[in-house]
Amino acid sequence: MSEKSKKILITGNEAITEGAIAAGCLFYFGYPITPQNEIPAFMAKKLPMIGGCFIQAESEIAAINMVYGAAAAGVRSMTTSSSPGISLKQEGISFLAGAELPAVIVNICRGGPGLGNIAGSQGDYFQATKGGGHGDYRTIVLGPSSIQELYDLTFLAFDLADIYRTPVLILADGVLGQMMEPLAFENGQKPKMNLPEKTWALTGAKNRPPNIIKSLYMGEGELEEKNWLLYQKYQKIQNNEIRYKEYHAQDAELLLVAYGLSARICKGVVNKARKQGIALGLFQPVTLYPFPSSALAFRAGKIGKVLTIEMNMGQMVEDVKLATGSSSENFFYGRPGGGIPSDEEIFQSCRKLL
Amino acid sequence: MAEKKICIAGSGGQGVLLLSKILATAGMLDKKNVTLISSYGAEMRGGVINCTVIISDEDIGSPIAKNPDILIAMNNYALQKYGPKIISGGLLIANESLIHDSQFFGNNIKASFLPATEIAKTSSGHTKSTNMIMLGAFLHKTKLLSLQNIQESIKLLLPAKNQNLISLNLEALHEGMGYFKEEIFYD
Repeated sequence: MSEKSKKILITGNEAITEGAIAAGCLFYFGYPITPQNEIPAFMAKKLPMIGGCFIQAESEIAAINMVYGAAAAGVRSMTTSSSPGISLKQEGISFLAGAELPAVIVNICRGGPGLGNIAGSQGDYFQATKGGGHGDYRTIVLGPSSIQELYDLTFLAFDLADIYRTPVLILADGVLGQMMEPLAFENGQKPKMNLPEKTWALTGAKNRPPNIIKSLYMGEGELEEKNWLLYQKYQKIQNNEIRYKEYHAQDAELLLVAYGLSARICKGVVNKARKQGIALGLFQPVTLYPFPSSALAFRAGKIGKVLTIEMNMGQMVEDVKLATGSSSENFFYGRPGGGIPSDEEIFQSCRKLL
Repeated sequence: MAEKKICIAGSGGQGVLLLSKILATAGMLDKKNVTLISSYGAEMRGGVINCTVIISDEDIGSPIAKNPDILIAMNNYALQKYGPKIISGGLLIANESLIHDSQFFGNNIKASFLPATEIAKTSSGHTKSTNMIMLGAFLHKTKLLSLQNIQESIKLLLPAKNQNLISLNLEALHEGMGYFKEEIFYD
C-alpha cells in the first residue's frame, strides 16, 4: 500500500458499507441476522446523511423485492444477509436475473444447514455459484479474502452489476465480516468504469416510449429467445470477468486452491512452508462465478498435484476437478460448517502429500 | 518483526475490546500488518470475552490463533481458559487482583502478575482503567509497539470531546508501564 493512502482499522462488515457508499449505493434494504448486523447498522447511520434511503424490511424476502424496485428505477441498491436469510432471498435473485436488473447481494456466510450457528463457513458455495433460485441463470460471485478486498470487490460489484445488468453476489463469511484490519482508502477515489446509460430504467415515460421490466415471457418463442440472450451475456461474463490470484504458485510442488477466508489461511501456510524449504503455492479464485478454470488448469497441469481447501465438505472442489480434469492429482481438505481450520492442520495435511 | 499473536481475555465490561483495538490501531500506525478478531454474538453478559490481535511485518494469514505468543489475562477465568494455550517461551501478563489460582501450567512461560484492578482504583478512584494499566504493563514488557502510537491510538479511539477521559486513560497507561510486583519464571 502506498504511503499516501489514508488507513483506518475497520471490520469487514463496515468495509462493505464503505465500498458500497463509495460506489454510489443509495438504497439499502435488509433484515437483521448475525454475523452481518453491522452492515444494516452502518447503512442506517450513513445513508440518510448522503440523501440515500435505509429500510429495515419486515423480512429478507421483502428486502430483496425492495432491491428489485429500486434497481428497476435505475438506482444503485444493495441487500445483505447471512446464510438462512440468503436462502429466503433466492426467489428475488432469480427474478432480478430474469428481469436483468443490477443489484448487489452480500452473503456473510455462517454455518448451516438450517439455522446452524454464527461461526464463519463456506457452506453456501453451491448455492451462490450454481444458481440458488429457480431457472437457468447465473450471478457473478466474488470471493473476498481480506478487509481491503471486501471494500474493493464491493465497489467493483456495483460496476459489474450495471455493465451486465445482472445481480452480483459477494460471498464472504462470519470471520471476514467480524474481523478488523487496516483499510486503505485511496482506491475509493478511483473513477467508476465506463458504464452504460440506464436507458431501460423506469424513470417516467415522458417524451419516450414506456420501458417494461419483467421476467414473464408467455408469447410463442419469447422465453427461449430471452434465455439465449441471457446465455450470451453469461458467455461474455465468462470471457471478460475472470479474476484470480496466485501466490508462490510458479515453482510449487503442491498447489493449494482456496478462496475467501480459506485462501488467507492458506497464504499463511504457504509462508510457513516456504520458510522450511517446502514449495507450496496458492491459487485463489476471486471470481467464483465465472470460475477461473483455464488459468487453474494451466497451473495445475504444470504442478500435477492439487489440494483444495474449503470450510465445507467439498463444494468448490467439484469446479477444481472439472477444470483440471486428469492433468493433476486432486486432493481435498475440508472442515464442515461451524469449524475453521488452523494453519497447522492444513500444513500437516500438505506434508502428507509431499 | 516476526509475527506476534496476542490474546486478550477477560469478562464483558473490562474493556477487552478497547484494549485490543488500541493494540491493533497502534500496530497499524507503526506500519505493521494487523488483524483483530473478537469472540462475537453468542457471548453472555458477564461471560468471558477474548480478542486475538496479530501484529506482523508480513501478510497475516489466519486471524485466529490457537496458541498465542502473549496472553493478557484480565481475570481468573481468562487465565484458566487461555493460559494453558500460550506457546512455550511465550509471555503472560495477568491481573493479579482477580486471580486466585495461578497453578495451572508447566510450560516455559514468562509470567508477569500485577494487581491492575487495585492500581486502577488507587490511582483514579475506580476500576474502569484496569485495561489501561494492563496495556501499560504489556508495553513495558514487550516493547512491541511505540509508546507514541499507543497514545495516539487512545486519543483516536476515545471520544475527542471528553478530554478528561483521555488524560485519565493516559495516566493509567503510564501507571501500568511503571509497575511490576513480581516476575515468575516457570521451567
